[in-house]
Amino acid sequence: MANSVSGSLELTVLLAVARLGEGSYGLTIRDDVSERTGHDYSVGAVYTTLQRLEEKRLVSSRISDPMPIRGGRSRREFKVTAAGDRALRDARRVAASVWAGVGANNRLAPAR
Amino acid sequence: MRPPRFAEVLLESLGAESSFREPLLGDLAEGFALRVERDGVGAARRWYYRESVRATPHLLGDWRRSLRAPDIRYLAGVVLSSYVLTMTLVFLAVELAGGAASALGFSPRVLAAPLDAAPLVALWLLIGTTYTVMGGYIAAWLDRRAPLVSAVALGLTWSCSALAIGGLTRGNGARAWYWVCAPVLLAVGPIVGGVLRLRTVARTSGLR
Repeated sequence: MANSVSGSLELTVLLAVARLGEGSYGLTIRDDVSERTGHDYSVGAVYTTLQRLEEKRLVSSRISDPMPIRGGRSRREFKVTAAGDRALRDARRVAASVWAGVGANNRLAPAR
Repeated sequence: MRPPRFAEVLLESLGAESSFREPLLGDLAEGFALRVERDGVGAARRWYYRESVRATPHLLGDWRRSLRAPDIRYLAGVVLSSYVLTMTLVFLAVELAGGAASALGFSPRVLAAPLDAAPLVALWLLIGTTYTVMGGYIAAWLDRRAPLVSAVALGLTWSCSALAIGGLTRGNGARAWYWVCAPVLLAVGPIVGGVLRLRTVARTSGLR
Protein backbone atom coordinates (compact mmCIF):
# COMPACT_ATOMS: atom_id res chain seq x y z
CA MET A 1 0.00 0.00 0.00
CA ALA A 2 2.62 2.54 -1.11
CA ASN A 3 0.10 5.16 -2.17
CA SER A 4 -2.41 4.95 0.64
CA VAL A 5 -4.33 7.83 2.14
CA SER A 6 -3.02 8.99 5.51
CA GLY A 7 -5.28 11.02 7.77
CA SER A 8 -8.99 11.57 7.77
CA LEU A 9 -8.87 14.82 5.76
CA GLU A 10 -6.99 13.12 2.91
CA LEU A 11 -9.58 10.36 2.83
CA THR A 12 -12.49 12.82 3.06
CA VAL A 13 -11.11 14.98 0.25
CA LEU A 14 -10.38 11.97 -1.94
CA LEU A 15 -13.93 10.72 -1.35
CA ALA A 16 -15.29 14.18 -2.27
CA VAL A 17 -13.34 14.17 -5.56
CA ALA A 18 -14.67 10.66 -6.28
CA ARG A 19 -18.24 11.72 -5.47
CA LEU A 20 -18.16 14.98 -7.44
CA GLY A 21 -16.52 13.33 -10.43
CA GLU A 22 -14.50 14.91 -13.20
CA GLY A 23 -14.49 18.68 -13.14
CA SER A 24 -14.49 19.01 -9.35
CA TYR A 25 -12.35 21.88 -8.11
CA GLY A 26 -11.24 23.48 -4.85
CA LEU A 27 -14.43 25.38 -4.01
CA THR A 28 -16.86 22.52 -4.75
CA ILE A 29 -14.62 20.04 -2.94
CA ARG A 30 -14.36 22.36 0.07
CA ASP A 31 -18.16 22.84 0.16
CA ASP A 32 -18.76 19.09 -0.08
CA VAL A 33 -16.22 18.25 2.63
CA SER A 34 -17.47 21.02 4.95
CA GLU A 35 -21.12 20.02 4.48
CA ARG A 36 -20.49 16.34 5.20
CA THR A 37 -18.10 16.76 8.12
CA GLY A 38 -19.75 19.82 9.67
CA HIS A 39 -16.33 21.46 9.87
CA ASP A 40 -15.62 24.71 8.01
CA TYR A 41 -12.36 23.85 6.20
CA SER A 42 -10.46 26.65 4.46
CA VAL A 43 -9.84 26.54 0.72
CA GLY A 44 -6.11 26.58 1.53
CA ALA A 45 -6.38 23.43 3.66
CA VAL A 46 -8.23 21.66 0.85
CA TYR A 47 -5.59 22.68 -1.72
CA THR A 48 -2.73 21.54 0.53
CA THR A 49 -4.47 18.16 0.88
CA LEU A 50 -5.16 17.95 -2.87
CA GLN A 51 -1.51 18.69 -3.55
CA ARG A 52 -0.45 15.84 -1.25
CA LEU A 53 -2.91 13.51 -2.96
CA GLU A 54 -1.56 14.54 -6.35
CA GLU A 55 2.03 13.92 -5.21
CA LYS A 56 0.90 10.42 -4.20
CA ARG A 57 -0.72 10.13 -7.67
CA LEU A 58 -4.12 9.44 -6.13
CA VAL A 59 -5.67 12.36 -8.03
CA SER A 60 -4.71 14.12 -11.24
CA SER A 61 -5.55 17.65 -12.30
CA ARG A 62 -5.95 19.79 -15.38
CA ILE A 63 -6.14 23.55 -15.76
CA SER A 64 -9.32 24.97 -17.32
CA ASP A 65 -9.60 28.07 -19.47
CA PRO A 66 -9.51 31.40 -17.60
CA MET A 67 -12.92 32.54 -16.33
CA PRO A 68 -14.21 36.09 -15.81
CA ILE A 69 -15.99 35.16 -12.53
CA ARG A 70 -12.56 34.14 -11.17
CA GLY A 71 -10.93 37.42 -12.13
CA GLY A 72 -9.48 35.83 -15.26
CA ARG A 73 -7.98 32.90 -13.38
CA SER A 74 -8.33 29.25 -14.33
CA ARG A 75 -9.84 26.39 -12.40
CA ARG A 76 -7.72 23.41 -11.42
CA GLU A 77 -10.03 20.46 -11.95
CA PHE A 78 -9.35 17.15 -10.22
CA LYS A 79 -10.25 13.55 -10.82
CA VAL A 80 -9.43 10.32 -9.01
CA THR A 81 -6.79 8.14 -10.70
CA ALA A 82 -6.76 4.33 -10.85
CA ALA A 83 -4.37 4.35 -7.87
CA GLY A 84 -6.84 6.61 -6.06
CA ASP A 85 -9.66 4.13 -6.72
CA ARG A 86 -7.51 1.35 -5.29
CA ALA A 87 -6.62 3.46 -2.22
CA LEU A 88 -10.34 4.14 -1.61
CA ARG A 89 -11.22 0.46 -1.88
CA ASP A 90 -8.38 -0.37 0.55
CA ALA A 91 -9.54 2.31 2.98
CA ARG A 92 -13.11 0.98 2.84
CA ARG A 93 -11.93 -2.59 3.40
CA VAL A 94 -9.73 -1.59 6.36
CA ALA A 95 -12.54 0.53 7.89
CA ALA A 96 -15.02 -2.35 7.55
CA SER A 97 -12.49 -4.71 9.06
CA VAL A 98 -11.68 -2.57 12.11
CA TRP A 99 -15.39 -1.78 12.73
CA ALA A 100 -16.41 -5.42 12.44
CA GLY A 101 -18.08 -6.67 15.60
CA VAL A 102 -18.44 -3.21 17.14
CA GLY A 103 -21.95 -1.97 17.78
CA ALA A 104 -23.90 -5.19 17.87
CA ASN A 105 -24.31 -5.22 21.65
CA ASN A 106 -23.01 -1.90 22.94
CA ARG A 107 -23.57 1.86 22.92
CA LEU A 108 -21.69 2.32 19.60
CA ALA A 109 -24.56 0.70 17.74
CA PRO A 110 -25.71 2.84 14.78
CA ALA A 111 -28.60 5.16 15.67
CA ARG A 112 -31.97 4.02 14.23
CA MET B 1 -17.28 42.94 -8.73
CA ARG B 2 -13.62 42.15 -7.93
CA PRO B 3 -12.39 40.95 -4.53
CA PRO B 4 -10.36 43.37 -2.37
CA ARG B 5 -7.22 43.96 -4.43
CA PHE B 6 -4.99 44.64 -1.42
CA ALA B 7 -5.80 41.24 0.11
CA GLU B 8 -5.17 39.59 -3.27
CA VAL B 9 -1.78 41.30 -3.60
CA LEU B 10 -0.84 40.26 -0.05
CA LEU B 11 -1.66 36.62 -0.89
CA GLU B 12 0.28 36.87 -4.17
CA SER B 13 3.30 38.19 -2.27
CA LEU B 14 3.85 35.07 -0.15
CA GLY B 15 5.94 33.27 -2.75
CA ALA B 16 3.70 30.24 -3.41
CA GLU B 17 4.10 28.49 -6.77
CA SER B 18 1.63 29.79 -9.37
CA SER B 19 0.24 26.25 -9.87
CA PHE B 20 -0.87 26.34 -6.20
CA ARG B 21 -1.59 30.05 -5.81
CA GLU B 22 -3.59 30.86 -8.94
CA PRO B 23 -6.35 28.21 -8.58
CA LEU B 24 -6.62 29.05 -4.88
CA LEU B 25 -6.98 32.79 -5.57
CA GLY B 26 -9.41 31.96 -8.39
CA ASP B 27 -11.55 29.97 -5.96
CA LEU B 28 -11.51 32.82 -3.47
CA ALA B 29 -12.52 35.25 -6.25
CA GLU B 30 -15.34 32.94 -7.36
CA GLY B 31 -16.50 32.46 -3.75
CA PHE B 32 -16.44 36.24 -3.32
CA ALA B 33 -18.57 36.80 -6.45
CA LEU B 34 -21.12 34.19 -5.30
CA ARG B 35 -21.34 35.78 -1.85
CA VAL B 36 -21.76 39.28 -3.27
CA GLU B 37 -24.93 38.05 -5.04
CA ARG B 38 -26.18 36.05 -2.07
CA ASP B 39 -25.14 38.05 1.02
CA GLY B 40 -24.10 41.51 -0.22
CA VAL B 41 -20.76 43.24 -0.68
CA GLY B 42 -19.96 43.77 3.02
CA ALA B 43 -20.44 40.12 3.98
CA ALA B 44 -18.53 39.00 0.90
CA ARG B 45 -15.59 41.24 1.78
CA ARG B 46 -15.56 39.98 5.37
CA TRP B 47 -15.61 36.38 4.06
CA TYR B 48 -12.75 37.16 1.66
CA TYR B 49 -10.55 38.68 4.38
CA ARG B 50 -11.25 35.77 6.74
CA GLU B 51 -10.44 33.22 4.03
CA SER B 52 -7.29 35.17 3.11
CA VAL B 53 -6.02 34.89 6.68
CA ARG B 54 -6.82 31.16 6.70
CA ALA B 55 -5.10 30.64 3.33
CA THR B 56 -1.89 32.41 4.42
CA PRO B 57 -0.23 29.47 6.26
CA HIS B 58 -0.97 27.18 3.30
CA LEU B 59 0.54 29.62 0.78
CA LEU B 60 3.61 30.02 3.01
CA GLY B 61 3.78 26.24 3.35
CA ASP B 62 3.83 25.90 -0.42
CA TRP B 63 6.58 28.55 -0.65
CA ARG B 64 8.63 26.61 1.93
CA ARG B 65 8.08 23.27 0.14
CA SER B 66 9.10 24.69 -3.23
CA LEU B 67 12.20 26.43 -1.86
CA ARG B 68 15.39 25.37 -3.71
CA ALA B 69 19.02 26.51 -3.44
CA PRO B 70 18.68 29.23 -6.16
CA ASP B 71 15.62 30.64 -4.36
CA ILE B 72 17.56 30.83 -1.09
CA ARG B 73 20.43 32.59 -2.89
CA TYR B 74 17.92 35.01 -4.47
CA LEU B 75 16.33 35.74 -1.08
CA ALA B 76 19.75 36.27 0.53
CA GLY B 77 20.68 38.59 -2.35
CA VAL B 78 17.52 40.65 -1.88
CA VAL B 79 18.06 40.90 1.89
CA LEU B 80 21.69 41.94 1.45
CA SER B 81 20.89 44.45 -1.32
CA SER B 82 18.06 46.04 0.65
CA TYR B 83 20.31 46.20 3.73
CA VAL B 84 23.09 47.96 1.80
CA LEU B 85 20.65 50.30 0.04
CA THR B 86 18.88 51.22 3.28
CA MET B 87 22.12 51.82 5.16
CA THR B 88 23.40 54.00 2.32
CA LEU B 89 20.22 56.08 2.40
CA VAL B 90 20.34 56.32 6.21
CA PHE B 91 23.99 57.35 6.09
CA LEU B 92 23.22 60.07 3.53
CA ALA B 93 20.20 61.26 5.54
CA VAL B 94 22.22 61.42 8.78
CA GLU B 95 25.01 63.31 7.00
CA LEU B 96 22.50 65.76 5.56
CA ALA B 97 20.78 66.20 8.93
CA GLY B 98 24.17 66.67 10.62
CA GLY B 99 25.11 69.30 8.05
CA ALA B 100 21.80 71.08 8.50
CA ALA B 101 22.12 70.95 12.32
CA SER B 102 25.63 72.40 12.14
CA ALA B 103 24.41 75.17 9.86
CA LEU B 104 21.72 76.00 12.43
CA GLY B 105 24.27 76.08 15.24
CA PHE B 106 23.52 72.68 16.89
CA SER B 107 26.29 70.23 17.60
CA PRO B 108 25.65 66.83 15.99
CA ARG B 109 27.68 65.31 18.85
CA VAL B 110 24.53 65.44 20.97
CA LEU B 111 23.30 62.38 19.02
CA ALA B 112 26.18 60.32 20.36
CA ALA B 113 25.14 60.90 24.00
CA PRO B 114 24.05 57.87 26.12
CA LEU B 115 20.51 56.61 25.58
CA ASP B 116 19.11 58.20 28.70
CA ALA B 117 17.51 61.50 27.84
CA ALA B 118 13.88 61.09 26.76
CA PRO B 119 14.08 63.38 23.69
CA LEU B 120 17.12 61.48 22.44
CA VAL B 121 15.37 58.16 22.96
CA ALA B 122 12.37 59.44 21.03
CA LEU B 123 14.63 60.72 18.26
CA TRP B 124 16.48 57.41 17.96
CA LEU B 125 13.19 55.51 17.97
CA LEU B 126 11.91 57.75 15.18
CA ILE B 127 15.07 57.26 13.13
CA GLY B 128 15.05 53.51 13.83
CA THR B 129 11.40 53.12 12.84
CA THR B 130 11.93 55.12 9.67
CA TYR B 131 14.91 53.11 8.50
CA THR B 132 13.39 49.73 9.32
CA VAL B 133 10.16 50.60 7.49
CA MET B 134 12.21 51.92 4.58
CA GLY B 135 14.27 48.69 4.57
CA GLY B 136 11.14 46.56 4.34
CA TYR B 137 9.76 48.74 1.57
CA ILE B 138 13.02 48.39 -0.39
CA ALA B 139 13.16 44.60 0.14
CA ALA B 140 9.57 44.21 -1.11
CA TRP B 141 10.35 46.50 -4.03
CA LEU B 142 13.42 44.48 -5.02
CA ASP B 143 11.73 41.06 -4.77
CA ARG B 144 9.21 40.34 -7.52
CA ARG B 145 8.50 36.74 -6.44
CA ALA B 146 7.84 36.90 -2.72
CA PRO B 147 8.02 40.56 -1.65
CA LEU B 148 6.50 40.13 1.80
CA VAL B 149 8.71 37.13 2.55
CA SER B 150 11.78 39.22 1.74
CA ALA B 151 10.61 42.04 4.01
CA VAL B 152 10.05 39.53 6.82
CA ALA B 153 13.45 37.93 6.16
CA LEU B 154 15.15 41.34 6.36
CA GLY B 155 13.37 42.05 9.65
CA LEU B 156 14.40 38.71 11.12
CA THR B 157 18.00 39.22 9.98
CA TRP B 158 18.16 42.65 11.60
CA SER B 159 16.45 41.46 14.72
CA CYS B 160 18.73 38.44 15.15
CA SER B 161 21.79 40.61 14.47
CA ALA B 162 20.70 43.06 17.18
CA LEU B 163 20.19 40.22 19.65
CA ALA B 164 23.57 38.73 18.75
CA ILE B 165 25.33 42.09 19.13
CA GLY B 166 23.53 42.67 22.43
CA GLY B 167 24.63 39.24 23.63
CA LEU B 168 28.22 39.61 22.50
CA THR B 169 28.67 43.09 23.97
CA ARG B 170 26.71 42.19 27.14
CA GLY B 171 24.34 45.08 26.58
CA ASN B 172 27.06 47.61 25.69
CA GLY B 173 25.97 49.83 28.55
CA ALA B 174 22.49 50.48 27.15
CA ARG B 175 19.37 50.10 29.25
CA ALA B 176 17.64 46.70 29.31
CA TRP B 177 14.51 48.06 27.57
CA TYR B 178 16.62 49.00 24.57
CA TRP B 179 17.65 45.38 24.00
CA VAL B 180 14.02 44.38 24.20
CA CYS B 181 12.58 47.16 22.00
CA ALA B 182 15.31 47.17 19.36
CA PRO B 183 14.81 43.54 18.12
CA VAL B 184 11.02 44.00 18.11
CA LEU B 185 11.27 47.26 16.18
CA LEU B 186 13.79 45.75 13.77
CA ALA B 187 11.47 42.79 13.09
CA VAL B 188 8.16 44.66 12.84
CA GLY B 189 9.37 47.76 10.94
CA PRO B 190 10.33 45.91 7.72
CA ILE B 191 7.00 44.04 7.71
CA VAL B 192 5.17 47.38 7.89
CA GLY B 193 7.41 48.64 5.08
CA GLY B 194 6.65 45.56 2.98
CA VAL B 195 2.92 46.00 3.51
CA LEU B 196 3.18 49.68 2.53
CA ARG B 197 4.95 48.64 -0.68
CA LEU B 198 2.18 46.13 -1.44
CA ARG B 199 -0.46 48.81 -0.88
CA THR B 200 1.25 50.86 -3.56
CA VAL B 201 1.28 47.80 -5.86
CA ALA B 202 -2.41 47.14 -5.16
CA ARG B 203 -3.28 50.72 -6.07
CA THR B 204 -1.49 50.55 -9.39
CA SER B 205 -1.60 47.01 -10.77
CA GLY B 206 -0.74 43.51 -9.56
CA LEU B 207 2.26 41.25 -9.18
CA ARG B 208 1.25 38.63 -11.71
